[in-house]
Amino acid sequence: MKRTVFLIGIPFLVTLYFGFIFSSKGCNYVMANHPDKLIDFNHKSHLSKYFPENGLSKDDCTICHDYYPNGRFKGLPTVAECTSCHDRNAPSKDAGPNVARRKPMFDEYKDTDKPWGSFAKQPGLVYFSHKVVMTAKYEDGRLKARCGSCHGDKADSMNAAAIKGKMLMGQCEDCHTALNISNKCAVCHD
Amino acid sequence: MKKLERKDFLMLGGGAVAGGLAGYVFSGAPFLGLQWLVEWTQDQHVPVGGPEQYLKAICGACRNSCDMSIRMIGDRAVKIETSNSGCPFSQNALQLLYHPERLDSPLKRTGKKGTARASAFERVSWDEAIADIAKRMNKLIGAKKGNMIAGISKNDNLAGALLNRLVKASGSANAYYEPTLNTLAQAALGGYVDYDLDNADFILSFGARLLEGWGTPCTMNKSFVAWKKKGAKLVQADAVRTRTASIADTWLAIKPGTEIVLALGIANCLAKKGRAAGGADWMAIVGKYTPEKTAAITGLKAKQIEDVADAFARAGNPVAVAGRGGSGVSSSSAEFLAVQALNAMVGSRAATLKKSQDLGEPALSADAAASLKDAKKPAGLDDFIKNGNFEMLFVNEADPAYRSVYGADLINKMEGAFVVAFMPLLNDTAMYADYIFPSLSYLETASATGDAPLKPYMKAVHAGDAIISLAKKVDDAKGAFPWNGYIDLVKTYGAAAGAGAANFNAKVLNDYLASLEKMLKASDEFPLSLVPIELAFVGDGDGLAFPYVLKAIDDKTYSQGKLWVQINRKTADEQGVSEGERIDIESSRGEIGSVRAHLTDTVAPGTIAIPLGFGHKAYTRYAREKGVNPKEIMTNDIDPLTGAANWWLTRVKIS
Repeated sequence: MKRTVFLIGIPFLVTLYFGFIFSSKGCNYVMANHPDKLIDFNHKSHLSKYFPENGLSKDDCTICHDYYPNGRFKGLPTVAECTSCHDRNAPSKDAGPNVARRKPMFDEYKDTDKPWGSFAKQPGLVYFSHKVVMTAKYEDGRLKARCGSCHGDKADSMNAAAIKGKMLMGQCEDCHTALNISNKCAVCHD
Repeated sequence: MKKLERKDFLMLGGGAVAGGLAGYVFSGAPFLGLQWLVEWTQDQHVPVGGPEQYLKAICGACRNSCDMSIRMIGDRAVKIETSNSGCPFSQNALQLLYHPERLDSPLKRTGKKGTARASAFERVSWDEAIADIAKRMNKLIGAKKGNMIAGISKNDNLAGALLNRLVKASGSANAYYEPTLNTLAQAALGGYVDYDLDNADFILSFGARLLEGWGTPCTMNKSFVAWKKKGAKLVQADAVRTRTASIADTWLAIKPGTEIVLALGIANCLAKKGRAAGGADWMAIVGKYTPEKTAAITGLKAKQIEDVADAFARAGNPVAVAGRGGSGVSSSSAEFLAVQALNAMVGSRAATLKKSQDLGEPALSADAAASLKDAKKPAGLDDFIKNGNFEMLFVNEADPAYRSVYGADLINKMEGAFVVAFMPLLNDTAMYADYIFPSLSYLETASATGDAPLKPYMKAVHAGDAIISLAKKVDDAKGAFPWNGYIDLVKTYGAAAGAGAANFNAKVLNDYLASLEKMLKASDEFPLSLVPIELAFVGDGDGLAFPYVLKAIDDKTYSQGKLWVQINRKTADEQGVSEGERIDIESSRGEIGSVRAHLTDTVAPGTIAIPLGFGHKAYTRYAREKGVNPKEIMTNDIDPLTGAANWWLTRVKIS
């Protein structure tokens, strides 16, 4: 009996582990864009340390991920957003703990450059308005959606690794249903 | 250690396979795969890729000229947004533009008529097709038979005006529009009614389903928002609790077909307050419809009628709205007159009669003039289909074989005639066309203010350009077409002008009321009333070719290959019909079936409400053979002024 459990159990556990890892990584791979991340970024340190020091909330994602005046989402920030704090003329060290230092890595980029890409970019056949979802409120004034609902807990991330990639249509529909947004085709496609 | 035997290897292998499968399942991969499979079945076009950009344009789908933003991925438009997010035009525009069955070249019929199969047509060049048609026209006009040429346009727009001009220049009076709100009002009142609904504070609708495709849906959405903001009152008279009735401040649940009686009853109350419209003979008829008599006919209470009349009279800028239906409108000319008379009685500033600037009468050649001299002029399209004749017919975006209650008669006549169609998708009427020319959607059409937002699809050309090209090859018509192209005409075309006041013709009203009395009377043979309803995006059939519209149809309208009709619950009990039961509906014109019955309290007693827009014979694989077309059995009495059949109310039985 022991021998039978051993003979079946060991290969079962080994292939379970490798099957799970291989399939999960495969799913993650196909569910994400694979952008070049030329510059790493520590969300956690910015949100937990520098934001409070400057009177900002941890939820003020739009400081860097803002909207254009017509309501369209800017998405990832340009270098200009970074250098608005990390001034190109600021000292790069010995500037004191509360001064954003110059980051030499930005020297090779123009203000309009975006030296990073998005993991969660939706395909061209889908239209998605961040503004509509992110400003939808319950009757008591609470926001219906948070950035983390779709993008994962970016606030706790310390590098530019993917947390969540693209979504399939079923996930979009589940969220639409929960937020009372129509699931008619033309809402997202044309 | 014991030697490994064959059985042990089997256990090792089995454990490995089971473990691998369990790991695969726990990773979520199979569920992800199933979701992909579901997405794949949706047949959604995936753009090849390319840079993302947003084109800015002015929407040309209606007179509102909303700002439009088109999201492009490479050369492919993938999403349209307009400053009016509720507009159905923009939501279907790309579905039409990139429709998999969009016509992409002129087609000439080589097979028998009555089929839409690709094998029944061959692709031909524009020049070859236009030369052949012009030759046939020249021959007919030369034989002084120009009056055997006819044209039917869907809308009273410039392309329609150009086709009318070509037909008239050929010596024929047979140029018609499909009955629409504007064309019916124009025939009944002498001008279309330019409603300023945004600024009205009391809207009294006589079966006009204002938020279900009626008028210009884009404008109506905006008006509805404006009414809610300023507290304007909407009163809806309808036999069915439609979407418009549901969100109206007051729903007057009248018996089907009695809208005109209600209008006269309200006019009677207004007359007692010293208001008048029309002559003494008109007011004499109004005098007969006391609130009590009106209540007895409409099924309302006299007090309800008096209250509505009182509120209507006291409002700052009230307006009464005629034109029963949504996208498909059917009202008698008497009803248009009776409702417009209410506007005249209260001095409404929100219902002005206007006339579009037309292209004027073309100069006629001797042959064309001789032909026109002998021509009879039916009052409207249905009158023409029933009583007229033709040897050559032009169809401009229209689908009378499907939409007219005389569709079967038209098909018979088209079998023996030469038919030319201009349209982007092959519809039921084009099944009988000898030539079909691909036309453009509004996204590909240039306007007076600029180029088209998107390039024309394949070899499609605007119907106006095609008609001008053809006219320039017709000897007797070319002088009447000085324009080089459609856009030349657009740039010179002026705005609509005032059309004066309506002539409230008491004889028309009297004659109609006499016929209505018979219509409203339930007979033993046909005890029930059949009235139409519409889904906002399906309309009178136009929307059914678009996959996204199909997906928005609820399962109590169409499911499992069957159309559903709504029947009053008590009436269904009396008729022995249960929920979901298959029934056939029969009128004096014939029978349609089978449909499923949905029992509801939102339909008047003794009434069946049936959705329009289903039962196409062609119009792409999405629309073909889905449900039944109720027009096949609907009433076909022709109105003397509009020449259109009043199909709104039909006496039927369940068989």
